[in-house]
Amino acid sequence: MYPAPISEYFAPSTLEECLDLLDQYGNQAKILAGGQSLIPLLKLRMADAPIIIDINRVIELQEFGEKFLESGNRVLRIGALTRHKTLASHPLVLSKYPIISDAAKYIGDVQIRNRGTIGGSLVHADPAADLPVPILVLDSTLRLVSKDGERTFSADEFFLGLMMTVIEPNEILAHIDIPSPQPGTGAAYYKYSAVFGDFAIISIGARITLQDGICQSSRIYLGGVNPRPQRAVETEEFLNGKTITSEILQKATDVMVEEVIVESDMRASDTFRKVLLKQYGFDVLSKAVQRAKEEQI
Amino acid sequence: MTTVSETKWVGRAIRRREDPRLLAGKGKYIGDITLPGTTYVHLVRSTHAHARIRNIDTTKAENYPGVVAVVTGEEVAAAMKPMLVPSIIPRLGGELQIPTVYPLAIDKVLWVGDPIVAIIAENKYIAEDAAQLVEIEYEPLPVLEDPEEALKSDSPKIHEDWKSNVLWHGELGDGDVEKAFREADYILSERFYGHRTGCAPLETRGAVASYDDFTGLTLYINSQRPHILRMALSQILNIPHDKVRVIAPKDVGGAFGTKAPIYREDLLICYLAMKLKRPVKWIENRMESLMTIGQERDQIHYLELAVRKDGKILGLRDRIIADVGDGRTGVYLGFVMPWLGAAYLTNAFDIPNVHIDLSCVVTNKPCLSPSRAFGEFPARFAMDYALHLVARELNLDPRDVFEKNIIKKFPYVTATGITHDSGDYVGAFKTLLEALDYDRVKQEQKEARKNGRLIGVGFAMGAEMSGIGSQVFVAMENQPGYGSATVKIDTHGMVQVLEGDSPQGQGHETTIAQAVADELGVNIDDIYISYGDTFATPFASGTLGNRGASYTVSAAVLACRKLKTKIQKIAAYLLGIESDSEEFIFANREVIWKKDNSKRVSLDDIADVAIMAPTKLPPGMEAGLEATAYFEANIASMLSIGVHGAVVEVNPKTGDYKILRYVVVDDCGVPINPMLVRGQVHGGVVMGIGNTRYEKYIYDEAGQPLCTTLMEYHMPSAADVPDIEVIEYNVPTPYTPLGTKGKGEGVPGPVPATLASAITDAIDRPGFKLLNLPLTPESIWRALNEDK
Ligand SMILES: Cc1cc2nc3c(=O)[nH]c(=O)nc-3n(C[C@H](O)[C@H](O)[C@H](O)COP(=O)(O)OP(=O)(O)OC[C@H]3O[C@@H](n4cnc5c(N)ncnc54)[C@H](O)[C@@H]3O)c2cc1C
Repeated sequence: MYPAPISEYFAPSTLEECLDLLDQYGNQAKILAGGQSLIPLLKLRMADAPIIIDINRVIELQEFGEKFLESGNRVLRIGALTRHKTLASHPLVLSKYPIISDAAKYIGDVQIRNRGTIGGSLVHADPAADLPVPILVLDSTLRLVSKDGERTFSADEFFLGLMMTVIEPNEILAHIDIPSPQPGTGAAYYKYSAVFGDFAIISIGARITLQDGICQSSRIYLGGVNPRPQRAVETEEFLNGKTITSEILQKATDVMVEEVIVESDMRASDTFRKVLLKQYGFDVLSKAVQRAKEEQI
Repeated sequence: MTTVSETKWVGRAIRRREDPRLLAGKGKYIGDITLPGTTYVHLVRSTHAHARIRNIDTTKAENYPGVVAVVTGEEVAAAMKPMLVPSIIPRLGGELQIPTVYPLAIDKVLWVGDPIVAIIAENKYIAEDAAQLVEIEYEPLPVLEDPEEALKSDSPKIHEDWKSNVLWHGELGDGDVEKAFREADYILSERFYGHRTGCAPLETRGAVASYDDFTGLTLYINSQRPHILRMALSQILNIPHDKVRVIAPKDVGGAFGTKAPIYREDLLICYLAMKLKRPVKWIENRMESLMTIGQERDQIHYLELAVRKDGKILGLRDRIIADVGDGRTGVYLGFVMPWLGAAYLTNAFDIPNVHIDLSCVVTNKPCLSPSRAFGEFPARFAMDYALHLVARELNLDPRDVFEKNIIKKFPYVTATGITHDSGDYVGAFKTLLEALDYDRVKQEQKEARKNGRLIGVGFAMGAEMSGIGSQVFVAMENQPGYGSATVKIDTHGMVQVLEGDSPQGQGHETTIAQAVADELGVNIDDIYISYGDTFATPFASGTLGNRGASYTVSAAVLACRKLKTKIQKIAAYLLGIESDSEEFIFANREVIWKKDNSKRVSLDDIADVAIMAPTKLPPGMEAGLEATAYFEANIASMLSIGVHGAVVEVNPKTGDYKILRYVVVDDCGVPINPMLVRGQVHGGVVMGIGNTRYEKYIYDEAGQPLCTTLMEYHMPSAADVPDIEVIEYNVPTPYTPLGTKGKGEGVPGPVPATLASAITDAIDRPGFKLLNLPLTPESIWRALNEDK
């Protein structure tokens, strides 16, 4: 469990230098962020990185906070280097975006949360990872930059499949923008894992916008069930326009369990994953509704 | 003046003397040992579970810069005897087929991970790079994963020269079993399965060997039993005993049984050092570790109990099938664990009529290696959970069924020949029920049920071995059971203790020192403990099976007592007293005459006379202050009881369960250091919970291991386990000088039956039972939905 030869290690301090290096080395290079996925892969020799570009010193990737875009829209901007720890405990997250903390606070353990970054987690795109689900649920956009310019994707476009995203070898994920929610919006996330802080057997993220008790819009994604977080479109359609009662949420859970395509692995069978979704789906939806009343996503 | 009782160390929860260096990161582990000119080994292991090796091409690896040598199986085999030399083959009767074992595979591989090629390089990175360049052609053979399949007569044979896949078959028991079953009012008959799990020590295996023609072979290895290994190395490698020195490092990062066997890699590393005449270092990586060691349990029990209607068990029949893997790991051959599980099957219960038929079957998996609760884990699950099932079936209170069957008179010899020395098992059991507040919990259970909450209470027992005397151990493993220790008082009046065992976290530097401090009336800081070096310590079987507190501490105490006789003679002489020697008190570093407190000599002065100024000794007395003792208890074996109880809440919709309380009532005779005893119990319960719920070595049909990192082999962390309440219920054993017994080895054993019975009680539905480990939420959910 020692990595294959690494011939060069760079630790640039500007984004421009990063992009130059990526352009120069292309496929040969790997970006090192928190290292919590890359280093294990290198040690298992499941990944090979003759050139390492350590981005931890790059200031441009460390933005964190609310800001107004040129369009006048307010977003929460999360730089790719933002650590899981910040997402788990930052006062801004806790007061206004608790779904992100729901997801970040049970990633691995303290050491992993201190090092691991949201950029690394999203680019790594493990189907059972925690952060992709809330990022999808919040209709976020991801900004990719390279020597060739910039590309922006919605989270839903960004994830392609099992550990696959749209990112090109010469690109870097710079930041994630989370749009300001409509009034009356709430969101929640829950993961069920075998041991504490482990990857999800199933995870559920939901966002619901209420007006006068009626669901105006909703977004639901499920993690850990198959190679890519799956959107529960029928459940969203079921909820939209309905007056939210506990009975409706129960029914919505049934729709969700019905529509989702689940796979088996050694952690749990497909049937049992559905049992878990049924058990926890209702809780997550209820929590999102409760937060909608408190204007917390 | 300090009184004797004020200076007493035994019984005090002092902090471990080992911890400061470990907490400061100054421990000395095998990984910290590197000799000048060290080379590093990486092993190429089989990717097939069962295959013939058609060709091995090592050319590219040999030519990789920095590679020192590439070695394959035949070369290694030619340099030594087959590893299973007679002195390390257990003699347990029955029919045993012995595999031929060499360090590296020669023409066939038997499991994924079977070592085939050794790459030796200037550093560990190069060794691993070169390993990737080795090309091996395999011809796959049918894979046997299921021991019941492997038992069938038309099954392919894993060891081709054997007559079947049964490594060991034998019977245990006594009494008139037929009669018991004829007279039974009820017969319980179930198949219980305890899956493949065990332990994964934080520190993996590792060895550093060096050789030269003059001093011979020196092997540093994190072994639990350096003396036994030394003996075997000398025999297998044909090196005179004086040219083999085995040294276990001062600090070993946990073993739990896994570092007791004689592994193929041990011999390989020695051979490589002899071949290259350069030091060779091998540290097992986590993946190799999870593929090779710590895999135990894996037993199927077809258990039948003949029961009288009041719950008394009249007789027991069991047919056990153990999956021992390839059976090629030395000393235990994978079968001694299930054998002991069978021998201890009746646990703390008085069951006079027993017949057990045990088949230990080879499959294409790694050989079982010992894991804490040696062989007993599935056996305890079957036995104690069966008692709960009996109670449910006969509508009896399980507490009455247990009480009726618990051993009450001591010493007690089981039908399988195991001696229970002493104790008060019923007292311990009743203490548990009181601590659980059993009647109140049952009441609360009813109320909770009205609110749709399913609460349940369960319990189980574990009579764990506390060392094994030579009477049993010589037959079992060809090794003595005694404890050994040398106690020396040095020129500065400080006390050195050399023990033959070799701890891996048990805290011998603390506990042995506590016992010796009391004997010699010195301060704990005056004592230093040495172990691990076979050139310096007396012979002993190693640190395993709860031997420490029962045998090794006792040997140290006896050595002190031998020494005390001499010290008292010197004291009397120096004080000019006519004394019958045993008339002195040892306290506060002084030797004090009982008849006149003012007559006293300091230990330093006595040491000075005995060592530095022998002219002042009584005429004719030999100089020096040292003694060695070998302690053998005057009984075949000692056991110590632990009783576990749990209150759980089950979510019937998902099968998930939460442990609301976990209580252990524990007897270790006399706790030398109650804090260490509690630590052993905590750790043992956590391991038991891990094995019961979270951990499983999973293989697919092709024999590929699916749990090769800790992301798949799920060990619980502090966040996953409940508070563990420990209550001491100690009954000193009359068979050791201080009344002490061992504790820790068997603690995981009662956990699965405790949890299974609590969950079953919570569900409380006729026909609901949990016969297969692990008890995952999904397995419980399935059990709930299958019997609907
Ligand atoms: C023991 C353990 C337990 C864990 N448990 C969980 C868990 O419960 N839930 C969970 O979600 N995760 C878990 N993780 C994974 C963890 O969240 C990782 O931190 C995360 O997946 C990767 O982030 P990183 O910053 O460490 O990225 P790295 O490991 O440094 O990189 C990961 C990948 O992303 C690429 N990359 C990183 N940053 C960028 C960027 N800005 N632009 C382009 N490419 C980039 C790298 O090149 C690499 O391919 C666990 C990890 C470990 C070791």
